[in-house]
Amino acid sequence: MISQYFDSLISGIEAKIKEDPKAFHPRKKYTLEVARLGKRLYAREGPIASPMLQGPGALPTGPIALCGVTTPFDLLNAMGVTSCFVEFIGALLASSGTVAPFLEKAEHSGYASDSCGYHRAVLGASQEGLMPHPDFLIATSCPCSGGLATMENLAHHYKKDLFLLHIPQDLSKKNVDYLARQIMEMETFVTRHTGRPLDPDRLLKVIEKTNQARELMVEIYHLAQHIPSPNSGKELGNFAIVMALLLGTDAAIDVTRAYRDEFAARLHAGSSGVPQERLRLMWIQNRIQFKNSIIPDLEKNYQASVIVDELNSMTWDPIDPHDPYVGFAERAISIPFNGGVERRVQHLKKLAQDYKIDGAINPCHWGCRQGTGARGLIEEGLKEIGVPVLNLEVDCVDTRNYAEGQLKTRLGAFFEMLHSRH
Amino acid sequence: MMDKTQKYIGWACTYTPLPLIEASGFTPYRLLPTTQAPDRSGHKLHDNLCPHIKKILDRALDNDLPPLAGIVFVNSCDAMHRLADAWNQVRPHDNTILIDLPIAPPVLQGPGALSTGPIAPPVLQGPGALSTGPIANDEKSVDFLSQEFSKLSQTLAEWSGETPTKAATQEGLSHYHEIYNLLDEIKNHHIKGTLNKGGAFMQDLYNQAATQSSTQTLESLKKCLASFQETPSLHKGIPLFLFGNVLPDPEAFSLFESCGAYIVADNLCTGFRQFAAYDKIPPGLNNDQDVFAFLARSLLMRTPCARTFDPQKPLYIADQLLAEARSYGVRGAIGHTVKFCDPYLARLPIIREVFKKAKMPLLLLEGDCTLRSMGQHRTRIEAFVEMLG
Ligand code: SF4
Ligand code: SF4
Repeated sequence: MISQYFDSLISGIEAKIKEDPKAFHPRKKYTLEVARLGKRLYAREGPIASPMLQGPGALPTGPIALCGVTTPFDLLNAMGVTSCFVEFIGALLASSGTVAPFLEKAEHSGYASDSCGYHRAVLGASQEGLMPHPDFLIATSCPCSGGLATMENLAHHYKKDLFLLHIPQDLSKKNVDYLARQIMEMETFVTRHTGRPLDPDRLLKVIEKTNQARELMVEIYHLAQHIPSPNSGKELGNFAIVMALLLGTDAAIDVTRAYRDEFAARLHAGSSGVPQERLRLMWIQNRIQFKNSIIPDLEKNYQASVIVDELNSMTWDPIDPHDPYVGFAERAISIPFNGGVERRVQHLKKLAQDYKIDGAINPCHWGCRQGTGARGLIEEGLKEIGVPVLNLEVDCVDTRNYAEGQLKTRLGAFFEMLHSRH
Repeated sequence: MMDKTQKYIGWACTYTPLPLIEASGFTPYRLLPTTQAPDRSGHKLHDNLCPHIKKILDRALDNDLPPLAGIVFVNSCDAMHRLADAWNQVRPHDNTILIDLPIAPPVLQGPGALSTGPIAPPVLQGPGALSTGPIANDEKSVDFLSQEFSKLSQTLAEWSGETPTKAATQEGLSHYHEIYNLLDEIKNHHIKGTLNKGGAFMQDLYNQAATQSSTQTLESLKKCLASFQETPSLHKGIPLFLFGNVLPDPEAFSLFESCGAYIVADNLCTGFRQFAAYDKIPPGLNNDQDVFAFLARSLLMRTPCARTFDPQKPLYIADQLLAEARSYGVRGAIGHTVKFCDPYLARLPIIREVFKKAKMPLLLLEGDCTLRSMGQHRTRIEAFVEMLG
């Protein structure tokens, strides 16, 4: 079922490219690569007999891993493993409008409706046989305790081996070395499960591609800071967090280059992402993953554009190909969700200043103790630099209690206030 | 009751190495989530965090605390980390430290265990390569936590202005070992029913031991044992095992008893588990590094709460709790967790399933650290006890 969904998404986008390659928007390219990844993850729907995928009957996808958010996906790409963080599937289910029965399934099985919707969706989908079937799992302690618990449940459900990466809190040398060692052990764990040792030449090439995509992302973010911004509300939604899955591949370079070129062309032509941009907004944490009209509405009615997301920023240096484990470790530790809130608030303040932000929206995804748990502290921190925050009460995955009317009323009042300050 | 001569260090998570705090001349004071302070922390953080940390933050906001020379936080779960963040904001002049905690205990044996031999990927040779080869996973988490404890010890020394002597460290360790032994002895009388004082008495002892100096605790525990007269077993109720996260109010145990239950033993983070890491103090802890490593290992390896798990035995907590319940010969179990606690909430479905398969009756209760929330469950507890009667 899910595999067919991706097939039709892919063929639809490919047909459009054929029709008019020039009218091709980078977001379509992004969606195409997401769909291709989805297809690979679901290429063997239904239970499989053996985790070893060699010899006759082997599937083209190679081994599959379900992971935590801060796994080094480029290392897995170098090792021929198709992988994703599990919340990616939760978001896919929400965006395809199919999430509700999975949430219900999880809740009926005793998973609290108070927990993160991404995780409930994934646990429900695994019980319905609609998660990609992993050969092994890799959990990461960052970003959240809920994610760790989900991975433990999935490993138990699939009866597959689980590897654990403990992501320490700050970038001290001791912490980086500690995580780098764990990542080396992860590599051994993966080799043991795939039967394929890491090819050092392939790793070098993968790192080169990671670094190229990184440079392009830096350019994209830099271009998006212009006034008016070439970016608009939906174009970079979920961008950096999903690009992490494609790092080390040509797809990451293609997608990032398409965005870079498109933004540069818009600036050159003097056009902006949102016509007559008036208000520049920052989106905190996750996007609302299911279809909703909030962003188009605020663009149309208030000329307000979400030009930066919290996670769309470069927090890591290029990976040194001769010392990659240290680079992978530093990258995982550097994400804004790791460490104390003070660090996260500093990060948000810097983004707000770099992008000359008028206001921020925090959806306050229900069930997220990690990110939403700090709602009050974030609001106070941004207030110090004069950036008001609108805290919504949404479950970014669960459509069932979504009350768009109420949200729009609150957004309206917030934008009136922002307009009056302008 | 607070002792004005003591210098208190606040702590909130049972992975805090209490002997190190004592060795630096401080009294470890557990920030229990029991307070009449108004409910304001949800506004600072978010209402979706567990009442355990919200009530502690309410105490901080309301100054419902003794004077504290510092607070030791542990990064045991998202909620605990958010508590540390919020504390720094609401009481910016307090000394605080956050200890990072590995997820897995150092037990990686059996099928599927990682090889402990050196791994030398070709890209990691030459200049810039890590200085030492990877250490066995078995030691990695202990090594990491030992270094965190070393940092803690230095920080405590800065706060107190004195470096702990070897004798003070040995005393801290031996006091907590003795507390373990005495509490264990009293607990065993309670399990047999010969203590005859009820669960509230036990919980009161745990609360005292968590909030006063080890010297005071030893004194009161010894007094308790000296005045103890073995009575014939007077189990007054259906014997049950209680597990979960926090339930510090002694009255909650009286409530169980008034419903006809006898809580034989518990696995709660406000119960005996707080002292379970000090069961053995090996001889020959000759230097600080040995002490840190010992504390790291024994804390990571003591009966875990839901936030710690071995990736090689996913959801083993369910089997472990069942085995523990059975070991006490109880007729059923009660799982009590506070709302919004991800570590427990995500493991309850499997716990329920394992208990059901094993035909061990289980009642799950959700609370908010107040007696009021327990009171709301009275009818369910009575019905459960009646069913087992
Ligand atoms: S939204 Fe929060 S709880 Fe959910 S996966 Fe993300 S960090 Fe974890
Ligand atoms: S383990 Fe549960 S009860 Fe304890 S602090 Fe974390 S969320 Fe709260």
